[in-house]
Amino acid sequence: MAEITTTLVLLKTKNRVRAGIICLVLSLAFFSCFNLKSQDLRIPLYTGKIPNSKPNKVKEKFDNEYKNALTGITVPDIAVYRPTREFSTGRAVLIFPGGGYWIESIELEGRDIARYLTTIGITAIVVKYRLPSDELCLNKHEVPLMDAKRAMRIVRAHAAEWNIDSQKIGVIGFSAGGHLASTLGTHFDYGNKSSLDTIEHFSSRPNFMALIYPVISLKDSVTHPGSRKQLLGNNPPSKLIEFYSSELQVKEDTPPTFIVHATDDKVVGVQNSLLMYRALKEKNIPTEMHILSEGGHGFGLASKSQQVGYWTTNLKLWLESLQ
Amino acid sequence: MYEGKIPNSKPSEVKEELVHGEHTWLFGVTNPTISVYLPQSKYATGQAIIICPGGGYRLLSYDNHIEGTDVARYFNSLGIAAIVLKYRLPLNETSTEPYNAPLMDAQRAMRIVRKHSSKWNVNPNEIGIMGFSAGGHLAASLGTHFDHGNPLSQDSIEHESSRPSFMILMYPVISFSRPSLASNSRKNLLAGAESDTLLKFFSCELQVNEKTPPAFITHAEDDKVVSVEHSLLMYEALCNANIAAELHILPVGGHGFGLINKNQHIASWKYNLELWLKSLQH
Repeated sequence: MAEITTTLVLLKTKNRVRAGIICLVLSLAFFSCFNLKSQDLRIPLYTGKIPNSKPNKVKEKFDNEYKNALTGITVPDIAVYRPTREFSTGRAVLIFPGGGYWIESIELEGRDIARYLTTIGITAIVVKYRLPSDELCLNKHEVPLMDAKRAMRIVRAHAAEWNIDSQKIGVIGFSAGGHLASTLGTHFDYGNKSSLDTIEHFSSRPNFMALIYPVISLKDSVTHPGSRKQLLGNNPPSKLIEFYSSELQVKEDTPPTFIVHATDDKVVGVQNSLLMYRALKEKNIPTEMHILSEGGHGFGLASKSQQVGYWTTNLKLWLESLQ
Repeated sequence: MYEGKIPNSKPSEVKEELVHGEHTWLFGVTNPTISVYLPQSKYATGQAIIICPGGGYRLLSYDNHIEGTDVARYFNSLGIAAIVLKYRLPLNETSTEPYNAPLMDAQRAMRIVRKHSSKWNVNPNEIGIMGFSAGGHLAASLGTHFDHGNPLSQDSIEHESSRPSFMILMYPVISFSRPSLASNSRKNLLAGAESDTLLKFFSCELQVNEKTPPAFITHAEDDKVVSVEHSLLMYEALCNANIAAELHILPVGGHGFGLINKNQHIASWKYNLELWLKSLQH
């Protein structure tokens, strides 16, 4: 604040041009300072060349006209939000914002969620994954899952440093981000110990997953057509549809799951969650599911509705019940 | 609940018997009653809930903390009137059509509460039914087999509608239609009278239509007595009929976890219920 006051005083003096420049520099410094406070750390997912990417001139864009969302992500990263040390539970959650694999709703389904999680003692990591695009990627459908796995490994690699229990790292995903979370929960690996890159030694298995109004199935009758088209293009082969239909991919080691959906969701049908629930139950994966009578799609923390917003308390109680 | 002779009953030696043990069980119910618990009038929201205890249609589970007095008082603390229904158990010795006795009593209870609504500070359009386990089957049966009353009846109670304004189904038995979902409730309700017609009639998921009231359903995934599939089927049927429905499935809790539970996680559904009930208030 002192610096800003100085700027204001300077503005009153003769050298207005110079003051203007100082003002700009200081406000940039001020805002980057603010950013540093809102997240504690930002780490790129890859050092050196980003795998599965094409050279391009695309620039990342934050659109505050439309859903405060990001597009054109070429450099994926994670933003880490840490809880007050004395309240830390040792638990961490990676957050995958939604946006139909077309945009990323980085505030409503990213930063807001991270801030909430830190208040209940959880280290929150917002994952800015790449969106599937033929312009930016070689095999576009592989890119979000690749980034999700990498993000999980990086967090696990930093577990001790960040006071996290490496067996208490889960994921939460919203809408298409819920699809991504569920593909990670069904297609993880336990790491590659012979890799030269030590990050790759770590497991990408989430210890639990929370799927919030998720896209689950990419099958014609159930899917969210927009997400499928973005991920797999038009007329995808049935093998890919199966691979990315998470209800068909649940395995014995799929982690415990928490699901929230609203009956009146007109964008992603509640059938997605029901299919996933039955698949998880079939494999005896402990699952909690809350289907609300109303809420629509994309409600995020739903801070304005007590009824819908209660899902966060359900989530907290569920997390506390996990061993 | 009835004046004079109880319909669908016959003289018998059966006597009501209350058994106290780890749980409190009531057997041989032949004389149905309702117990009314009202909130202080200044806190009354206008909502009322008729509570149907469970017990596989063989007995009534009368534990206070699950479906009895404590639960009624809990609803009272929310400004909601609570009415505990002691319904008849289906017994060949006591009824001519035993399978009809519980539903008949539930319909009658709904009409009685509606009839007394103004006296009890209840809004006649906000009277719901809640049932646990087999009581959930009874509640869902009422939600799918009600009528709007018979204005020609000499008994003015029969003028009232038996439609519940909402249903709360706790780890309910829903379906009699699938061998994989066989239950004691089905066996006891239809003892000796299992016909395709009755199996279908009492499979609530097959009876849902656009007039079925909104529903709140809770079940635990590890329920070994009544499979969670019952609740899923009911939710899907409601969803397909465009009825506003809410479904909460907990990973743990088993069967019969009731409303008041020391485990905060298992008890959490009751806040979801509170908020849902609030969303229904006019």
